[in-house]
Amino acid sequence: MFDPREFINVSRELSASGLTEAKYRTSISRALYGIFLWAREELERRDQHVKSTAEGYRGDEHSKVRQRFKSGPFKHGGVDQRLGSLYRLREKGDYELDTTVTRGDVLQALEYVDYIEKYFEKKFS
Amino acid sequence: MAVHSQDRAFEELEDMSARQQISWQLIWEFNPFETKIGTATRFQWKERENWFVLEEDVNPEATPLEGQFFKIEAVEPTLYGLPSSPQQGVVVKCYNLSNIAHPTKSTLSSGFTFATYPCPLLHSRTRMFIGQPTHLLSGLEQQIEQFGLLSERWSLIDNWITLYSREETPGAARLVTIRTGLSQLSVPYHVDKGVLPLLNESTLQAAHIVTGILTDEILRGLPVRHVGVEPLIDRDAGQWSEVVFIIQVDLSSTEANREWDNILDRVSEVADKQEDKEVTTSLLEKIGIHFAWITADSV
Repeated sequence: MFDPREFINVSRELSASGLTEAKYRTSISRALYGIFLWAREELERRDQHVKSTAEGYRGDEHSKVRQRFKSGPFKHGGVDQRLGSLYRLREKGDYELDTTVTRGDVLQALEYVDYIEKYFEKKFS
Repeated sequence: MAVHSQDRAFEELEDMSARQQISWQLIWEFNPFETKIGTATRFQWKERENWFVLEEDVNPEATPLEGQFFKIEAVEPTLYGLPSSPQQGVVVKCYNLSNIAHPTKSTLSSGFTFATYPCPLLHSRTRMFIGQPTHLLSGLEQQIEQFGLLSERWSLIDNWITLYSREETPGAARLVTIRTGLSQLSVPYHVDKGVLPLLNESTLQAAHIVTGILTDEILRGLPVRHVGVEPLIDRDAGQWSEVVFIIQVDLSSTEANREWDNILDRVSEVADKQEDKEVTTSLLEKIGIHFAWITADSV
């Protein structure tokens, strides 16, 4: 099974200085998906039913994952808001062509990732 | 003589009643002035440099009124004074829209009026205001004129909230800065007009709470460089949306994360104590609070 944390590794590789904007945009996207998929798998493993593949649990997986950090046993405002921050940067990177995505944006995204990673490692280990 | 005087006053009042058909659903920003509101205060409108303001007795336990916003619900003609020499006046019923100390729906929906004369209290927050109706009305008009955002189109609307969801105008954005308290921030800020369709009464109240906490933290020394208020919309599936405060701070990563969590804790505390569950939901699910700081690359 693929480990989504490899996406985070790719994101860090694409955060080096002097890379193209396309790579920085990709870096942010991989950072988000690395964290999101990691959270999704861990939550699903703990019967949080965030995957839409299961019968009776259709719906957007992203919003379900975020919802689990807004309330309930996994409530953590810090993680929730940093996930939101990652979504914001990822929307900029994947959708907004009129703005420039910089290495600073990538490093900021990875700082959000660092925080969430620490929580996940503690909570899900 | 007294009877004639009373008749004339009532005739004029009937004329006023016709005007009353106008729905005075207004929001305006009070001109800065030193006044407070409290259970023992008495208010009156006073003309000051072509500006009509509410003034009152000083009550040490009162809450500052400056910078707060009110919605006029109705202006009703009335009489006051001695029966032998009645004077015409108006009762202004209005809601305090920005009472951050009591941001519950019960507070916001309990109309209170102001009085220059002692009158029976309808409830603890009720006062009756009696003043010269012509002055009052002209005062309101002056305020409308003076605030460009309160154009005629703005001032006579049935439901001002719906306007937020329909119009993305600079005036609307300006109004949001007032309602959310952003206009009182001591740091640069920007409101993206894209947030307007996402706002309703509860999200505005929630945003006001966040701004209040942020203002307090800035006063305590949080080095905020800029505050942006932007929409965050799920473009993939369209399942969610948020109004996001993006707070740029001049801090290291460690410090920024600590201050960020501190603000989130404070917001969470307020949310837990909220009586209005819609505001609670807005605080937890509809308002985003994001920090951004100086990264190694941007030093």
